[in-house]
Amino acid sequence: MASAVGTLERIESFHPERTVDVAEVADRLGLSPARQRLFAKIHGLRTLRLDPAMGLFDLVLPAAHAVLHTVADPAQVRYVIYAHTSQAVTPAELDAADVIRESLGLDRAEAFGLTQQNCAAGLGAIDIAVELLRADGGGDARALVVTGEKPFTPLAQLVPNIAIMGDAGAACLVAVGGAGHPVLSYACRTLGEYADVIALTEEQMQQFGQEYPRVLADVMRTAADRAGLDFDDIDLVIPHNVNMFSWRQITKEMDIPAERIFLDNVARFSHCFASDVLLNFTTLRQAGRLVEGRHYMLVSVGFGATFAAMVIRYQGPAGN
Amino acid sequence: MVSITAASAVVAPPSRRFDHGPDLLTLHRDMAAPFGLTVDEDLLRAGRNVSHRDLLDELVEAQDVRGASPDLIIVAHALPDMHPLFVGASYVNKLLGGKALSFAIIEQGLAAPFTALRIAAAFHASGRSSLSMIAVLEQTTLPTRLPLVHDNELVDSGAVLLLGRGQGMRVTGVWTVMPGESVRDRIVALVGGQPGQTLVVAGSRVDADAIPDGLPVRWCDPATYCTSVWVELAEHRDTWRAGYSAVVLCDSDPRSGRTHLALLAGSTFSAVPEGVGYAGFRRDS
Repeated sequence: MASAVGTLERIESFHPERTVDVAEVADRLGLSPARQRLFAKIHGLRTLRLDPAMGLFDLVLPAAHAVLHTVADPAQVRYVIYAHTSQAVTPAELDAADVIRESLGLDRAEAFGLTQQNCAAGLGAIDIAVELLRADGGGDARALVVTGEKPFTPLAQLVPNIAIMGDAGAACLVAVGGAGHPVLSYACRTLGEYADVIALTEEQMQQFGQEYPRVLADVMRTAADRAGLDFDDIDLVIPHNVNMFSWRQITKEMDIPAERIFLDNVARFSHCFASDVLLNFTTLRQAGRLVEGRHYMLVSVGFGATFAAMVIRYQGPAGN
Repeated sequence: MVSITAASAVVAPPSRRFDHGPDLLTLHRDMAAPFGLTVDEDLLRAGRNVSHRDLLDELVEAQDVRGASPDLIIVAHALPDMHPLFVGASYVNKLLGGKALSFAIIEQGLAAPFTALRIAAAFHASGRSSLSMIAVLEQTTLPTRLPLVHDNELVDSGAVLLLGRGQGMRVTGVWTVMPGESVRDRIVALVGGQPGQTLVVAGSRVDADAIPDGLPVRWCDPATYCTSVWVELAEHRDTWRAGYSAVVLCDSDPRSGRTHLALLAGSTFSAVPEGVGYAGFRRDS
């Protein structure tokens, strides 16, 4: 089994209380009845959280505060990495990552945004945080990875025929050699031919749909392999909530039962940009469904197109 | 320790045609409105409309960069692309072999490329990268008025650095100097007592008093912001390597008040003094 360098010391999530039917959002987006049936029947979307009165930072900061609350000395947080899907979440007048850093009172931390992995950016941020902390010599230093963004415009709310986006935020405290859940591997692959997200032709979209299960399955197997595990050693896949259809394709491609993938939140929350895997981790933890010593694979795909998988070992409640 | 093995730069390329469709204009309006801002379509039409894709195309076609196959690609910028759904890091990944881990570092003002350098060095140090690429991009066509851009007449510009184990100046460290701390003292601590000459390459917003007496300084074009020292580095790295034992890249961000330093060492440069304490990429606690 691979030896871990990075550890996840604390993971928290946040979502608005307000629940909205996906059908209502689809209607507002002007989707045809056929498209609405696609999202309901084939993709399995039911509800999502959406609060138009809640601003970007109202959504992002609660989970970050909850994580930071567990840090003995906030000065330990050397990096704040705000990972998001939309490449711009504010006008150029504001640096969102710096607003987050300042709001958290982390005066000396380096704060930056991580993008261009789209919805896979949360996992990418954890990987980069580990490398930065390792280069710094580890020790007491920590990195805070923050996710969460608003579906602020139709182009951000709807991925045609694939996903409808909802509100959620999450945060994760990363260490090197800490007492948290060890990160055993990370695998990532980018298909740059899909870089121009809104200019893809129908043919390119079909090609992407055909490549998706094969490439993602390959990345997931690579992550297991790099962790020194067989895929059968993975207790549960903690996925992004893109839709049920995509995950049915994966179970078929990998010849695994659907129970190996945690899909309960797809119908409840829909796709919440880069927050899904951390949100789903907290759902599973609260439900007592994570077992100490077992291995879990976090998986996400970003349009544009980046496929990522990370294997962790759950250390039990003591490791958060 | 990783070295800068190749580079390219572009400054003020020809302007392009305005091509914002209604969906993109709606996106800009919906992004601006929650922050009390209004999109000025005339600003977009009057802009040079040079996109990140345009800059990347030119940068990777340069002779020194063309054909490279990096395993790590980091795009860094302070000002957003005018096409916020185009994934430039993925695009350039495909152009350069499609095997790289790629992403963008943003929302840090002109510190973003310094952070990119820190990350690239970290990946080299851990053995996860043998050839990385940093693309520093600055496009100036924005949908809302930004004094930093519009009052300073910034131009579109970009630089690409390739970092590997070949010949070139070694990346020795990256530091952040907080507001109220002495940039001058930090530079002296980094390079004082070294044999040979050190060149300071300073962004146009660096306080002149921050440059230690006796050190030669090259000031960057005030029409650049995030790209300033990196364009200079890409254009002059071979000359500097031949003429100086070390180069300090130094830039101050008027938005954050922080100053950022990177030390590039030539073959005659000995280690950073122990008292400064940065064997790798450690920064001040």
